[in-house]
Amino acid sequence: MKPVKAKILLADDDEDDRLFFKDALESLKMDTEVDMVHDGEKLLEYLEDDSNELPHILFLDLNMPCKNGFECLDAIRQSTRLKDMTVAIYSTSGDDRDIETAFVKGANVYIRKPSDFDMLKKTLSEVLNVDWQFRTGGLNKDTFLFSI
Amino acid sequence: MKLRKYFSPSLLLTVAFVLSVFLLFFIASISFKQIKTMSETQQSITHSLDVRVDLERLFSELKDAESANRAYLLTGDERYLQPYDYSHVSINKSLIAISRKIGLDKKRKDEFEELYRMINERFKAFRDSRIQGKKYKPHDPEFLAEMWRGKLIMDKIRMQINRIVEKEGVILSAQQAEHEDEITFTPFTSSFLVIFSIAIFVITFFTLKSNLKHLSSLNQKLKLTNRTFENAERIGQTAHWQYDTKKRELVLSDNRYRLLAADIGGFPSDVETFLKFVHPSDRKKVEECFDKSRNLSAMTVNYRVIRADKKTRYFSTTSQLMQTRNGSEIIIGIDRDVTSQHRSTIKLEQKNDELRSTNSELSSFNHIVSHDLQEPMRKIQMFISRIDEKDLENVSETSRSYLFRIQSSANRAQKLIDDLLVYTRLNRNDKRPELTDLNELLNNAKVDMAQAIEEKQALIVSDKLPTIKVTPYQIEQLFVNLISNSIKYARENVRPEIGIIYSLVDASEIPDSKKPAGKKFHKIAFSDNGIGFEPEYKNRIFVLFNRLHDKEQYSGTGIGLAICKKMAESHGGYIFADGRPGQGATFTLYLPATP
Repeated sequence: MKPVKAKILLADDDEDDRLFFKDALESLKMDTEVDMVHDGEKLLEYLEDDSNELPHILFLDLNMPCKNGFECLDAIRQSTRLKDMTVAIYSTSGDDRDIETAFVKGANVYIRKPSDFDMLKKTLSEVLNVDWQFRTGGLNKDTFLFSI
Repeated sequence: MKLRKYFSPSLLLTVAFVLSVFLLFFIASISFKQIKTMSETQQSITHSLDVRVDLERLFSELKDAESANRAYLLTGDERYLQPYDYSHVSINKSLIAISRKIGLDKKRKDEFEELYRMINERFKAFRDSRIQGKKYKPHDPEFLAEMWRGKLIMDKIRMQINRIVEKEGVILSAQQAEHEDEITFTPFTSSFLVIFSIAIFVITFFTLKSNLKHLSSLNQKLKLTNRTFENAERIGQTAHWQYDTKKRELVLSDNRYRLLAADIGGFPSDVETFLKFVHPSDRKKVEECFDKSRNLSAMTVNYRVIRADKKTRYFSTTSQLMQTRNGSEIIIGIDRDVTSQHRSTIKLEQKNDELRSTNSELSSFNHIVSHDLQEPMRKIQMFISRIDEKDLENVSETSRSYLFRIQSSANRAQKLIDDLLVYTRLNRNDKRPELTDLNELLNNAKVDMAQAIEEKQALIVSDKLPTIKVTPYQIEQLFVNLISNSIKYARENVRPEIGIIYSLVDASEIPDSKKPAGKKFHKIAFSDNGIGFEPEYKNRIFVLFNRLHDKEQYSGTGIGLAICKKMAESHGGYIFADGRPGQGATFTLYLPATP
């Protein structure tokens, strides 16, 4: 029995970051399908479009034009259709306030963008191997910030 | 003096006055009575003496009558009876006079009645003998018997008179004794009266005098207080006024005129004029406050006035209703010229606004640093990390070294940004002091530094630390920075050792401390066996971006210790460094025991 292909969605306005992300996933040789959107507006359009299959996990950048990550997170958690989606914040910021806000708004995990490609690969492989739906129940503030 | 508490001086005086008038009346009436009794005694003494004289005269008149009778009887000549007739009248007169003088005393009256009866009997005998006078002959036995009987009666009368005289004598001497007593007693009472009166006058005089003195000293004090108050108002730019709500009278203090740049008494003191000076657009506000202050709670209003010299000033007035003892209601108001305060407040607000905008600029700068600057830095690192090992072999040695240098510079820049963020984060108002076990924070710090500690095989030995009120994450960061500093600047090939020594000390033991002695501080000293430093750098070491060693030899951003200093100071504490080259360094942290 072939496992279901993991569907991943990345919302990030930075072209380089999208490239790194894609390369890292490809080099991991995991059976995944990746879609990418360039800003918050487009992300919500994508999610609201019934023709698109919902992703298993959404990597959400915070600093984006049009609608930032927090606004998108709010919209997702308020929507009955999307509210159970796994959301991983994927940001450069290591600011306590950003981390706390993301936690309060209901993100599943907070990932600081690594500054090393190997580290990025390692991070993605770890994150994708966790069943976030299962972990939600035991979520706490101390383990919220993802670290290897 | 206690009495003064209960009686006002005027009441005291009234009571004293009424009391002394009563006493004077009392003593005067006693004295009057004594004098009256004395004069009565005197009178009765005179009467007693008179009665004696009268009795003697009575008896001699009786004797006259007797002898006249005898002569008539012997001679039969009617001419001899003349004295008898006279004596009859005068005897009667004497008897009446005596009876009047005897008064109502029963015994004396009885004795006198007896005498009266005897005299009547004698006169009856006279009359009888006169009637029968002509037929009597000398040696007639009946005549002789008559004479004998007359003699017996006269003897009895004499005896009776003697008895009365004797008794009057007894009475007289008793009265004289009494009189004597009264005579000695009366002057005593009179002089007592005089002395007492004089005493009352003297006391009243001195009381009045001391009251007057007290009053004048009070007056003096009042004047002084008034003058002080006047000056205080003038110096302090304040004034006051009183408004009698019933009489509708407004009284202004002198300085109220001065505050309005007017001559004292230069304008009528009534509510209309009072309001005329108030800036037209503030007038309503002032009137409302005035109305509200009628219900006993103090009200304050800030408003503008236009002074007599047309200058606008800012006033603040607090007014309150007071009820006086006699039931009248007075609104008392205190005015202050707050123009300079008002202006400085405005200036302060401007500065505050400037500060606020500077702060928000700084905050957006922080944001730029944390996000926008980090992003390209991260990407540089990322791209370098993507250069394949194989590709690296194809470039020249120099280029490879350049690439490594780029990487290390990017890493360093990243670290600088991270440290700077930690440093600026301390400015945020997220201080949440809570009772914290410092041993726990030290353990957390060790866990944080576990990798470095393990790498260098560092040994950390600590005293038992206290539990105090601190912002936990800050102190933990402080411990991390101190430990990381010691490990970073360890001597080559020497196992780093860090000793942490704790003691509770007095503020006076803290070098350069301006805290007063008596305040207790927790002293926590971190000593290491590292490379140490020149003592002259012990202050510079804490300055932001100041480093004592070159970057190639020791990694470090020059922020760690600056953070430590900032954290210690934000807790009201101090941190000092001490060291000698090659002999290790000691960082001493002082945290207040009672924040």
